[in-house]
Amino acid sequence: MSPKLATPPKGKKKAVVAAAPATSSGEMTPPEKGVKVRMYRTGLGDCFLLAFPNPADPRGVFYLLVDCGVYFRTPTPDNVPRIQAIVKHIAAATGGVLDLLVITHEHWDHVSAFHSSQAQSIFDKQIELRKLWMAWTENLDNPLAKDLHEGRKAARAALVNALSKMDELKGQGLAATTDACALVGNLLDFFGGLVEGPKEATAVDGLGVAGDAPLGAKKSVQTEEAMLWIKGTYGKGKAQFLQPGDGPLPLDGVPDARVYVLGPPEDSELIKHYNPSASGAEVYPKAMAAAIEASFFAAFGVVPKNADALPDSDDVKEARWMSLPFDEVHQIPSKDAAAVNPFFDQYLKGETWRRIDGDWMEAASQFALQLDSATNNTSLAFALEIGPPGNGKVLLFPGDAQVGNWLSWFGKVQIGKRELGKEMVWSSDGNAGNGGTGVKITAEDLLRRTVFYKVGHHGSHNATLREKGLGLMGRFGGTSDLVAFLPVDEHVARDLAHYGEMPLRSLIKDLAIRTGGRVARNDAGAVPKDETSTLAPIPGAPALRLDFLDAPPDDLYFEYTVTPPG
Amino acid sequence: MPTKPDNQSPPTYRRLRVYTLDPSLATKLDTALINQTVLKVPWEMELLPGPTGEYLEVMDFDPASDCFYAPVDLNNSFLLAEDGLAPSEGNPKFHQQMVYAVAMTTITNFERALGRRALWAPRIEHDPETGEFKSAEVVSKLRIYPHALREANAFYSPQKKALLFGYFPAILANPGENLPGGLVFTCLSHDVVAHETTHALLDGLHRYFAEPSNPDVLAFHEAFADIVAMFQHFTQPEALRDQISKTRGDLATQNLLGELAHQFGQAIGSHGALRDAIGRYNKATDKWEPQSPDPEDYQATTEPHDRGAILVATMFDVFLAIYKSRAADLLRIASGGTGRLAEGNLHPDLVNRLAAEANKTASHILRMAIRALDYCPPVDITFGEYLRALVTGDWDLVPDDERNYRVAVIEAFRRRGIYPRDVRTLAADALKWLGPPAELQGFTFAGLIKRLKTEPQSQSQTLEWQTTGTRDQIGTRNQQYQEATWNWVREQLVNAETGGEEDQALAIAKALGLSLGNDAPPTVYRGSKDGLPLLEVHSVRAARRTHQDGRTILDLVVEFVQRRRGYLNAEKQARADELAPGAGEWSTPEFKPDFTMRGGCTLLINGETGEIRYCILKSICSESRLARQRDFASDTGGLSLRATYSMPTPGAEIPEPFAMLHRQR
Repeated sequence: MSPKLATPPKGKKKAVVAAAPATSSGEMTPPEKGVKVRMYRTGLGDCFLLAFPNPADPRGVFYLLVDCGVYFRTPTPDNVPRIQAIVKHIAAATGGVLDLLVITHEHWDHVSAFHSSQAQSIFDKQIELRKLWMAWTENLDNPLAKDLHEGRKAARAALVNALSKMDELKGQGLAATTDACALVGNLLDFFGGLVEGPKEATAVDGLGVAGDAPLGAKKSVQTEEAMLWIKGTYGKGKAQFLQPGDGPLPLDGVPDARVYVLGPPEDSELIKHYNPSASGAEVYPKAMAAAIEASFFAAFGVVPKNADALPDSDDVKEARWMSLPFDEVHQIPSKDAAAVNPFFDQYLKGETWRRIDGDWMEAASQFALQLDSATNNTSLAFALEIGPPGNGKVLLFPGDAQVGNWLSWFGKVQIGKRELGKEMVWSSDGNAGNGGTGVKITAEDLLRRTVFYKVGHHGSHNATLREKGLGLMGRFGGTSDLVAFLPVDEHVARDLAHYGEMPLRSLIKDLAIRTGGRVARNDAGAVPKDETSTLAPIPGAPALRLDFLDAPPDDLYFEYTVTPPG
Repeated sequence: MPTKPDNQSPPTYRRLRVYTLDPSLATKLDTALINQTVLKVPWEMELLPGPTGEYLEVMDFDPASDCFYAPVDLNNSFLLAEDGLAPSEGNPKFHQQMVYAVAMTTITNFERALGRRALWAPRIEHDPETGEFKSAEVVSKLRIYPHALREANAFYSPQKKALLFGYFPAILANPGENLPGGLVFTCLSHDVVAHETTHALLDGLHRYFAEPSNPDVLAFHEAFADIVAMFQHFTQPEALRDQISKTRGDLATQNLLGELAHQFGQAIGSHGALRDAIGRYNKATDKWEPQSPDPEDYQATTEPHDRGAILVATMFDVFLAIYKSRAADLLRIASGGTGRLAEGNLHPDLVNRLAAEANKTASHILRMAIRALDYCPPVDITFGEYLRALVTGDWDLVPDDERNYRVAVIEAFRRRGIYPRDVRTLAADALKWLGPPAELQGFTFAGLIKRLKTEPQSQSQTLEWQTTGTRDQIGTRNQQYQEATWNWVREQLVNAETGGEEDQALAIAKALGLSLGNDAPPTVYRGSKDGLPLLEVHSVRAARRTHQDGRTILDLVVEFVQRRRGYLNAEKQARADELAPGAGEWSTPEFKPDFTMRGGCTLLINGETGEIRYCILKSICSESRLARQRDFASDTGGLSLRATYSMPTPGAEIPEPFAMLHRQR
């Protein structure tokens, strides 16, 4: 892993701001009981600040921040300036002391604010961090986490190289015909683009593919930089890596609130399981997918298990050799073909429209989808319970967990003939597992008691399960007190990023039905472009409304208080 | 090129060795014997290295490995003496030989069934501004790239008029018979090659069948390609005998021949092959189970491969039913009338006889399935309409259904829940396409046929041109015929000027599913020159059939197609249909269409008298069909992960429909 950062890390600092007086205007006051939640409206990106009453602390409050980021291609006025304003607002709201930061996963739209190009210095100088929680997948001392991390890094490197090669072919009029190029670009955006410069610059720098150094492997991406800063600098010595089944974890000093860790599962197959399908059938079994991936990556000089391998290293040479279908005697290198046999002129000098130089790289889109989903599936998913253990109300923060992660909360998952994951039962007396004598708590319990749902992955189709998800929450017709918070900006997702189904219209419909229309979305109030917009009224579902919020919606955030039962 | 000895006619066939199904059988002792077979493909006099012949050009470029592989020369005297190269996974020249041999076999089957030369889809260019037809270039050779992709995929590219085959490492755990970590070549699978070649042949006949306008269209493309691949197996005697002897004559139990893409399926770990027509591997019981027909499946399944599998299974049911009835007497003889065969192996003579029956049945069904293509509507095919095409085509060929083949077909479709939407009873005579309606009484194409025969450029006095010319000539002539037909129809139906006839002409057009006058719905595309509705003569081709008295009769198959702007919002559609045809609004973003609806008809015309025999309609004016296509286009319900991140324009043209089919799942 490259520790190189765009800006040199600054030494650890004491928070500059002394505890602000409790009466200061910008401060977020905790409710008497329960929790107050703010969804900061970054756009297409997550940022949630929670305030709990905390009699044990002189300030009387406990602040918890879950993620802070905004999608890469959000236009400038809503991107850097807005996120800086938001982080400044957080600094004021917390009085400069953050009791706990939870980072769900390594995607730009969840961590961008911690990058030097956005609001890193504000966090660094104005907000003191006390504690950091991350998923076990971020603990690189864990061999599986390290494997996953290296695999993702290699995939990014291969995809960056594939993308630049595709751009190069496009320049020669030999582009393939489908949309893979745009799709791969879209997905790489979640890693925040390249460090070396804007995306456009990489398109023309002509990365060598066959023989040159795999430059992509050397390139760190901005998301990784942000993560490194959070782990290595901001949260150094304060980090705790959580495993599924952990909990109930107390929030220091806060009475009546605790956290149950649901995911990510400790199984690489579940992490790579991402697409819901009725039959449970997927395109390829995992081992097969890995082998195909390896042979594809080899063409770009990248080895899946070792992203930093040099092009002349034995690993890379062997992978490339293994990926070739025939012995050397049969190969006629493209550059020599015309000279070796005039037969090949038919291809090389014949009709351009019949050439196939780029079609094989279309497969990159599949790897990009896998990479993106495997990253989403490393999300730290947790349930926050307030009120009596085993009977309280639940706030569900799934991060961007997708199918494999989500399914694992409920116990072992059957994939094919194998059972993956583990059984998880919590005990209300704090003894995790089956040792406790208190009330037994399962993920299903927690979902049934959910009154606040942070909608996963900006409302995409595979990040909110039906039967084992939304179907357990709320009631048909919205008679319960379920509310949903959806950090999405449809305009950015659809018009700028050209995502098709984010958010998914049928999910918005289900959310509206189960919450009685109480869905707060970051882009609330935006004008629907046409009748296919999810902002437009959906037949058969109640209209979305915001009257359930504590106060009229603010431009920067929505605020809502969950009070414990009774 | 071999020199031609004096007074010696060229050989009929070229014998070429191939893997019977795919290389995986070679590594299992019990199938090693049937692992390879010799295909007899038509002798091409001008076959060049590649192989490059009249129909195909194999170009072995492997872009992922950045290299070419030298082309095989099948006229090399060593290869001529030995039925071509010996099967080998490690020799790219054998790969070239095998794709050539299997693709040529598939083409030959098509030509035999249709009674004319097979043509590839022309390369059509449209005017980028008006979207109107600009030119159609004859594509004489389909290009085949045996190593184009490095993934578990193979597809026909309608844009490149090419087949692209992939190769990929086999699964590491549980690899079936494949070497763990070894490579699987899709171009070495008989099924995959036959399947993709069929896509190309079907596209040459019906290029709008690649446009998904209802859930059946792409599924039909997939299913049809599988059906051809599957029944082609049964023309391979060695494998057929082996499997009959293994299954003791009962082909309904698991056998290799009914499985498609054996190695491909094994390699991607899906137990049993990719699209297994007869049964499925049950994950829960760990056993292979025959699949019993469930009429619900057709309603519930939408993914094109899965939906297509229903049609494949239906055709396999037809095969089994007919095979059983043909084999019944043999089994009675062999079992002394009990119908129960003695323990142990079947007598080789019985195996041979059963294999002959299976072969005959399969050939018949294959021919029936291909012939039915001339009886399909030009656009928007459904399985139910394919059933009607099968019944009608078979009726024309064998009016007297002595062996009850048609009954078997109808029964199989009924058991799978596949019905045409517009027939009352499932009897053969009800399913047969109707003759011309009352409005078309007295309207014949005699004038057109006369003109086609006498026009100076046609040069031929008969309509036999599609069997006698070279393929390039046929392609060019086809276009001339299409143009002549277009002119004739416009003269008959559009330019008629006398008062009363005008209405009559429009009524005829309407009965043909067309709308050619100014009264056409405004959303129907108009020509930029005359402002009249555009009309495409999609096809004019000859279909032979043998009359009961033994005479060969030639029918003319003519297809007309029009296109119409479709909107996802029904209310917007209504507003658009209120606009004037020449209004400026059409070019505004608001009225940019969301999808294209096509409509028209397929006519089977008696080649001598010009009388319309069948009129297979897909009316351009049908509001109900427009509404169904709208529902289909707006239902993105196939929740694929890809849809989350990429914006498919609803109903828009998909650049490579067959490439995406596999990746989308």
